[in-house]
Amino acid sequence: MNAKAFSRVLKNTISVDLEYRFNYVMIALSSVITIAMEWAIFSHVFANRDQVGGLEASSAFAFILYGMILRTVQALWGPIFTSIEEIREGAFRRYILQPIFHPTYFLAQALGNKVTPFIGAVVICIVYKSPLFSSPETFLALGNLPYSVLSFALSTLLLWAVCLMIVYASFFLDESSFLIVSLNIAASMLSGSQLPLSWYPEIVRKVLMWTPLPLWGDWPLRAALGLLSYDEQIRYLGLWALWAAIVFFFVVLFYKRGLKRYESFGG
Amino acid sequence: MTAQPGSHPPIAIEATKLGRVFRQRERTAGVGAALRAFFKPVWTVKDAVKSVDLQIPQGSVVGLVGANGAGKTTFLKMMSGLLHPSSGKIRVLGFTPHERDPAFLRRIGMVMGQKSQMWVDIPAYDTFMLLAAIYGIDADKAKMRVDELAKLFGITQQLGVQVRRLSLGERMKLEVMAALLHEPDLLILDEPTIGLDVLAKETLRSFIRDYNKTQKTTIILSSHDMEDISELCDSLLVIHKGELVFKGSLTDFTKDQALKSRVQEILGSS
Repeated sequence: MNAKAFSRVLKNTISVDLEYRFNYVMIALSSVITIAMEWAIFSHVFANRDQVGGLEASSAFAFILYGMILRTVQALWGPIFTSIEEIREGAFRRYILQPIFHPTYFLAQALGNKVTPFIGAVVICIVYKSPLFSSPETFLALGNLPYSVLSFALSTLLLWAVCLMIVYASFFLDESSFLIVSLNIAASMLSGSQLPLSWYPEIVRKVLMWTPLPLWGDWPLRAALGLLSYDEQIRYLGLWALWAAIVFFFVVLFYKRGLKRYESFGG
Repeated sequence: MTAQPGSHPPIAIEATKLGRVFRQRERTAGVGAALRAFFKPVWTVKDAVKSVDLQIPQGSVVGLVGANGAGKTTFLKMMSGLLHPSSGKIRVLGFTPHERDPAFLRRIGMVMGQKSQMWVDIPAYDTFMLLAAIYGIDADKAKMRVDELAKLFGITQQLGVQVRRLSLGERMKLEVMAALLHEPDLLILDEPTIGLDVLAKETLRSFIRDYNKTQKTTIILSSHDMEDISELCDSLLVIHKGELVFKGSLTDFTKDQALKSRVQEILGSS
């Protein structure tokens, strides 16, 4: 990986984002509204009980807050749709003509795109952990912080890799935005970042455990809340390694085969 | 690489029986046709480039002309490695272009008149610094080169402005600068003067002429504008319906009245 090029793409992406400041206001506003709505639903659920499906009432707000942070930092609409459009319209050629591996470019763009929301997320977590709020003691406690950070990073990387795989699928399908939309809906509804997986029927949970979906919600979220047993921590790492290998294989395959058949439309 | 006096200059581009076929989905206009194509798509095959044989010596400026859809851009794309050939072989600067060897990519530059490699939402300077990093050029050297090229093009003031706010001519100059930043041995220009006014065209031509003289860079120029060709090129390739119908010096072309009329006819029909 060309570290200098990576850092330049990162800086340029941040510069582009800073040109459109209003986007941040909208992201902040929509996040606050979603948190408020989810809080209303959770308050109703916990009105007459202390615990539902393994989640205690005291942890509910931490769950909602961290779930929102996860979804905001992981969601990657901009670079994905730009790349799909570039493949469709022929503008992808600039990456082919330059001595740079496109996944490197994509990763730098993704990180650059998420730097500001990530900084915001860290500030929110620090404020939430301060004595001003009564956050659960286990939430991002020092003891589980390294594993929480690791699960957050690995989970995000895997989701972005799947997004990249879908981007490269447009070499064959011409248009693969529908797959991105499906992935985001599935990741939002079935990963356990919006509602705890323990609230779902047993059969659904069993099926989900064979998919990478829990890796994008249940894993980092329960890690941050300190709710994962040691066995679960290891099992999730193994599951991640398995899916990462599968996704990496298909990213490289789609990229290489895709470039071979790429027609780079237009003059 | 410089040729010895009296000897032939080394070959920059060599194509043997080079061909490219496109498979396209076709249908008539309208929702009904779209629905029929949804269930029963009709595919057609188009020979965009047919069995092209040629050799281009290093340091020459070669013009490529032909009507719209004649296969010019397809040929240039195979030359740069953007497209894989369907048949035949192509060697450029000793490399097989579509293998995308980083050493090859560092030695070519390409400008496509209708596609940008600039980041349009930020000033051009940021894109140039990114390109410098990608091509492994030292930042200070890159800054000097950008300043030098901007001065030559007369667009120093525009380097700090968002690219999308610049005029077409200014953006085209930036594209050429981007392609030249790493001092390529081969520069491929696909309709670089498209949409430019007379003054901008002249600036660009004069720059390309001087650049070829001083750097001995091989330049392949595709254009619909015969003035671009006559002012810049020392040899010419005429492509028609995917076939190379003329390859030779511009002088030979100018002398051959019958061929000239045929080319005018071809270009006129586009």
